[in-house]
This record gives sequence, C-alpha cells and structure tokens, in this order.
Amino acid sequence: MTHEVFDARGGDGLVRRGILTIPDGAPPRAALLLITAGVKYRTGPSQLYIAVARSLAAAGFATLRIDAIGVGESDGLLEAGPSHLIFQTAERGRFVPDVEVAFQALASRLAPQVRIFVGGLCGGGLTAQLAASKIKDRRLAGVLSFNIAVRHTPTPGRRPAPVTSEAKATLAAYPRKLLKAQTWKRIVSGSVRIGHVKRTLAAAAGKSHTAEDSGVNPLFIPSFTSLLKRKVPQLLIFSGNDDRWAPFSDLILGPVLKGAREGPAHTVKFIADADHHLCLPEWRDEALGWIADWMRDVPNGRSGA
Amino acid sequence: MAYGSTFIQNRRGARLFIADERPDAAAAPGEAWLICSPILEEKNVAHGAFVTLARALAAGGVRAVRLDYEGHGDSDGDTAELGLDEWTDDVCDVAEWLRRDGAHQLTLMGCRAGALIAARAAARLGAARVVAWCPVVRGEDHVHDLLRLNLTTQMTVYKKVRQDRPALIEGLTAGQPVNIVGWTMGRTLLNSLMQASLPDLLAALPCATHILDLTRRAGAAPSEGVAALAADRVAVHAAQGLPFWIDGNYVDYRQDRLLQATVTLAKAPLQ
Repeated sequence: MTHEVFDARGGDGLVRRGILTIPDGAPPRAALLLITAGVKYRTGPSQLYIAVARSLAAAGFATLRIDAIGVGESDGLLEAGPSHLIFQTAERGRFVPDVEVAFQALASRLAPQVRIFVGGLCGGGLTAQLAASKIKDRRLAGVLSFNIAVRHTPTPGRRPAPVTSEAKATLAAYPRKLLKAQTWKRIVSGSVRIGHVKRTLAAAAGKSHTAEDSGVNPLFIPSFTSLLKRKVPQLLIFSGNDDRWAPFSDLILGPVLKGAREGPAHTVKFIADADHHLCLPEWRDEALGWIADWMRDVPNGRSGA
Repeated sequence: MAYGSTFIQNRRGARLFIADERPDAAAAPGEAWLICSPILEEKNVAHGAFVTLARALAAGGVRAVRLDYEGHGDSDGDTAELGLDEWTDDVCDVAEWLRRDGAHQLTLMGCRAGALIAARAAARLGAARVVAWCPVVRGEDHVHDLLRLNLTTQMTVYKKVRQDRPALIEGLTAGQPVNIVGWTMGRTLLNSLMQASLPDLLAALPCATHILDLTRRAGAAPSEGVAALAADRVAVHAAQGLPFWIDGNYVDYRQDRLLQATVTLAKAPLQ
C-alpha cells in the first residue's frame, strides 16, 4: 500500500489535511472517507482509523483519513472549552462541511467509477451520516459508523433519562449496590437523586420519555431515515460495553428498524464484549472483516443519489 | 508561514510522517525545533497541542518540525516490538534529514515520555538545547500509568481485574504483549522504560535544559519530582494548565501559558 499526503481546500479557503492510503496493484475498487471522531485527529482513537486503512488496503480499497477544520493537521484551531460542549457542536453538524469538501476532493482524485463510502467513530459516525444525508453525488456508496451517538453528549452531572434497557440494567445492579455501605451512606445523607430513581423505575416499566428528556439528538432520526429512504447502504457497528448501544437499540433499532438488524439498506452489527474504541485485536479483526465484506457487497451503481 | 508534510524512511526501513512549519522570515536561519511527542495514546490525545506549538514557533520565526515515531500517528509500524531506543533512533534520523536541509542548531523539545526520548537523542546529536513539557521523570512510573489503563479496560470488559499489575509485568517480561487501550506494549518498551531515568539523562547532557511543568493553580510550584530536576544546566519553570494528554472534561489545544513560556524560551539566544 502507499500513503499520500492529501489536501482538500474548501470554498472558505481553509485546507483540510489527511492521508490517502491506496492499495497496491489494481486501482481501488472503492474508497472510504473517515472523519474526525470527537476531537481526535485522523489516526482515530487508539489508532482505530489506521487499522481500518491498513485492513482495507489489503482488501483492495482506498481510505482517506481526514482532519476537520481546527483538528489535527488541518487549518484552524479548535476553541478551548468543556469537552461536552465541543462534542455537542460536532453533533450539531460542525464537521459536515469538512466531509463535503473532502468528498469532492477525493472524488476528483480517484477514477470516476470509484465509489466513496463515508464513516467514522461515535461523533465521527454521526458527522458522516449527517453529511451523507446532504451529499447527492451518485458516487456516494454508503455510510459506516462505529458506536454512533444517538444522544447528545450529556452535560456532566445531568444524566439524560434512561431508555428501558439502561433502566433495567440499573435496576439489576440495585441489589448488589444495596449491600454496600457507601450506598446506605448516600441514602441516609439524602444525596440519592430521587428524581433519577423515579425516571429509572418509569423507564424500566416501559414508559418512554420525551426525546428532550432522553437527550436524543434531533438531527439523528431525520438523517438516518432519509438515508434509508434513498437506500444508501449503512453499516452500523456497536460495542456491548459502550453507552451508545442501548439508546440505539431502544430508540432506533426497535421503533425505526422494527428490530431488523439486516434490511435492504442497513446492517447492524454488535460485538458483545467490545469497548467504545474496540481496543482488543479480536474485536477489531471482527469489525474489519465485516467492513470489507460490506464494502464488497455494495454493487457499483447502487442507489446513493 | 508555510506548512509542509512528508514521509521519510527511518534506518529500519519504516516510513515516518513529518510535519514541517517554516517561518516566513527565519529569526535565526539554521535553527530548528524538533518536537518529540508523548507515546501511545497520550500522543493522540495531545496532538493538537504540538500543532499549536509548532505554529506558534513558526509565527515567532523559528522552524518547527514534528515527527510520528514508528508505530505512532501516520507512520508505519506497530509498537509491539518497539521502545525508547527505536524512537530515539527515529528522532536522530529526522534530525539528520533536518541537517541536510540546513538546520544545524537543534532544540529538542519533548513532552511526557517524549522528554526521555528528546534527552537521549540530544546526547547523541549534540543538540543546542532541550525543552521538556511535563516530563516523565522515571520510566518505571510511566509503566505503571500505562498498565493502569489496561486494568481499567479489564474492569470495563470483565467487570473485574483478571490479570493484576505484577501478572502483566511478568507476562511482558516473558514476551506476552499487553494491550494499552488499543496499543500494543511489548517487552522492548517495558525494558526501555524501566531503565529510563530523566535525572541520569539530564546529568549527562552538555547543553541547557528547560523544563516546564503544568500546575492547576496559577503561581503554584512545579511537582516535587520535577522541581528536584533543577540543577546547574537545568532550569525548572511552572505554567498553569490542565493535563492535555489525558482525555478529560476540558479540551485545550492552546495551552496559552505553556505556549507563551515556550515561545519566550525560543526567542532567547542559544548559549
């Protein structure tokens, strides 16, 4: 494989910088564009994006890992501030223009028949989804996400109302917690949040909370369903040991996808033990295998525009 | 200022990523800073701070070059078989590339474990100056910090610690790598860190060293371990800020006070 320094200048005059990995031998059969995860630069947290690029190159695909404006090697500088506020700006689409600019630059760089997937981890997956819902280019091939965030990153100390499966998990842990002296100290001192306990009990009983109470990102469902309607293929990979799975499972997989992990334009994959960044090699290998298979299965010319 | 980036090949044949920030008008032609980042995930988390530093140095008339060690960032390789020796070689290879490009007076700047690498490389290169941000003083302490991350992952995944720290070290010593939040730590890194001592490295350096430590409160003294490094050719300074190499509740790639103190140092003539 070869690696190229890749620059994409937008209409704003700013340069987004990335690394394009090209497989050896025949021209790439398709390409994946990976965008900033949270505020982590183009290598991805724990080198996840590097692992994806190397694995895809071996399977005959190109990968562009690009930094959004203000992140990594790209122009600009991210403002200083509380992490949750900065993440929330990304969840509102801050980096979408960076994907659009990079997409066009990559499309120009590659042969016209090479189709382009967009993707990312967590907030990067959401950015890719939001951008894909805006990109009408026929070369858009699909959207890949790892542990995509359905909810906004919560403000510290202000937990969103739990979804049913989270509430059930919390209740299941109560007997163990009640054996701890620390729990009783909290109960006696009055520091237990009665409101949260009530919300947990209600959610466990199946009562749904308002989208606002649940902290759901209002941009998620419209962009997700617009891609479903356009039949833009989506591969969503989730980890069991991560907070993103329960909200997706309860709020999207159930009501929107009717519980179907496979559909005409979507595939949901789940790694039970994995953590947010898929740190262990076995989790990564499993996910990387799914990604290559999925990209191979998306035929040329399939709808995406 | 002009930004450039490229790949060069290190002595082991791996491609290293290099980012080069050049000033419009060099205040001191032939002078450059070579920035040595922390290692493993600290490098990724802290990356933005070094981009900011390099830009600030270039804006002040000083060329600043950053490298990704083998197995890090955009460079080739895997960290499983690598350690401080190999990454020190990488710094020396980039320094050689810089010298061929006309930079003969080098300041080696290192952060966290990167300070250990910078100090080792400085001795070999005859660097003009060393600047260290929040350095790892004893490599052994850093090993324990890294292993703590593995324990945290075990707690997340298995809800208990299956392999405690002594067991992990025993395994490492026997050649079984340990996963550190997605990175592979092998015996080479373990051994090189266990032997690394910043006081010993600084004592052997003929050039001046400036150490900048972060403190949570303005006007606070540097941490005890860092303050103890002060010596004839070693000056220790403090700057207020939060640890920017750890994922936390606050993002700050500017590190204003640390940056200001460092740029001030860069403007001081080399002795």
